[in-house]
Amino acid sequence: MLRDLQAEFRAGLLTSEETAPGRLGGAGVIGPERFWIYRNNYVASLKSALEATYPAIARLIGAENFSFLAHAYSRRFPPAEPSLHAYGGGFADHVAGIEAAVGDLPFLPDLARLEWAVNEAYFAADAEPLIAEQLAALAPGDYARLRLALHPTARLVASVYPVWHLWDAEDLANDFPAEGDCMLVLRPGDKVDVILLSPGDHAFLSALADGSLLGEAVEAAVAAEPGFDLTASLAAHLERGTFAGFDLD
Amino acid sequence: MTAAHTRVDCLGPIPATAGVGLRHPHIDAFQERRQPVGWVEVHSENYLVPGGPRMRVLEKIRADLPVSCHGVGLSLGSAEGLDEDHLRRLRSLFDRIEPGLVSEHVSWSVAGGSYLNDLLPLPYTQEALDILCRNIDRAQEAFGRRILIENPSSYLAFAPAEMTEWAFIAEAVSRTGCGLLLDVNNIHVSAHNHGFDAAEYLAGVPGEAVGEIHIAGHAECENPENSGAGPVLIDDHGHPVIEPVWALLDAALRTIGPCPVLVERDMNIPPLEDLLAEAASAQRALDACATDRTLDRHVA
Repeated sequence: MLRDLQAEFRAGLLTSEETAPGRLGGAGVIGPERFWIYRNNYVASLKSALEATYPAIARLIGAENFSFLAHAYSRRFPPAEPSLHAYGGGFADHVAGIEAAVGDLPFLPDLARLEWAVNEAYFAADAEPLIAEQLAALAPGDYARLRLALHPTARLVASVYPVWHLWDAEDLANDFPAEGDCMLVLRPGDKVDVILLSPGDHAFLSALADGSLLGEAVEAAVAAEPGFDLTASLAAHLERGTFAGFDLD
Repeated sequence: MTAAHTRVDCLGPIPATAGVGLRHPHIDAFQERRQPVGWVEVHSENYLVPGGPRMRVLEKIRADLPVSCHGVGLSLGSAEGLDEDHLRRLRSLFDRIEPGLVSEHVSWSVAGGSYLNDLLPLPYTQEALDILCRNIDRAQEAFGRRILIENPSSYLAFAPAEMTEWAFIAEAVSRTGCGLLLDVNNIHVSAHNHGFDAAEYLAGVPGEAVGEIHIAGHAECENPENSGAGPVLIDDHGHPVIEPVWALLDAALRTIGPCPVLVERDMNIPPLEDLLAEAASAQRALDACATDRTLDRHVA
């Protein structure tokens, strides 16, 4: 049956063993010694796809280490859909489970989360950013009921490691800050920006992303960073296009 | 001008001229100016995106040149049937881009819900033929249009085969009313790998159903587990088109007549000039074929 042949072919592709199946789904295989070509195409093509999505990790750990991580990932998690830009969302969790990788380089999973956020932002839906004039029309009393919507391309990432600094580093030879980074990933036009945020600003945007009212988001921001300056933060985010709209509660 | 107005510039069929596959390193050149090529082909799955610059660029290029959408992920040969979400996403891409041609492969890539990112071989049996035809019917219904199916390249085959690859494809075309995308590089690669005669293959496919021809390059590879069987040809689209494939193109055009010819390149992507030079060679083959056919008519 074709269904059995395809199930067994799939199983053969996903194994790292160098076996040459003589039969698949009850059918004889002519040229089983060439099965490796398919196995090879599978891991090599998905490694390239992952490399395109995770260029910083590939650069920092080198081709051989990256291949090891990518091959193991693709064998364990075959793509669930045919558009390769959607492949690799679980790479951070996969890397986190590989002791050989995170033992030496514990920042790798968070760097992967940042790179996935960049990938998502690149392909996310487009929207016109909210501009300051649209907010200026609100009455002062409206601010208490204001719910700002983040731009559909906005993604928030926080790490105890300096992943913003690592993201565009050429190699690991540099000195990196000891403290972690909070970041906003945003694509207001064609280009993805990765913006370093203060802890208060990150808490502010995270609360807004969860649907909090402006006042609640400010409380969260101040809790994370007592000196949080709402006016300066709003002005900077309106300027860079962090919001796409608002509601009044 | 509304979006609906900007879209109608390049409607209509793909011309019977040479085209090239539109690939990332050449995108800027195509955006800057209309390139000297008849049309371009894109991989449909690369454009199933909610937003971002990729789609904007394609819409810009399609205002200059006709676009063909070549699918690599529908898996027409899957026993488990087609992914309805994927069909819907493709339909919405086609509604937006209005491609001159839509094509897919006589192969499979989905099993157990996993997408295996390759064009895998089918056994040439009645059961597989029934499944392929059912899936082609479903795709043509979902897209509201005829599609072309491309003959595959492969490295292994299944036994017992109940028919030849060309008979299998001819029967699928006849049953479903779909067209054929004849990849002459794939014929060359598979003929070598499986030991059949490329001329017999060409004679066995329905020439009148051919709506497009692909040409490409391939790699020659010594099989590490080889038992003296000679090199295997790998369809990597990573090298220039070689002479036997140009000869097969000439032979196909003599039988079929002028039709759109695409130069495909997916690996080791060369400068655009090199790709355009190959397209110009394909155009010369098309021109020669048109001249021959005119002469034939005069002689007759």
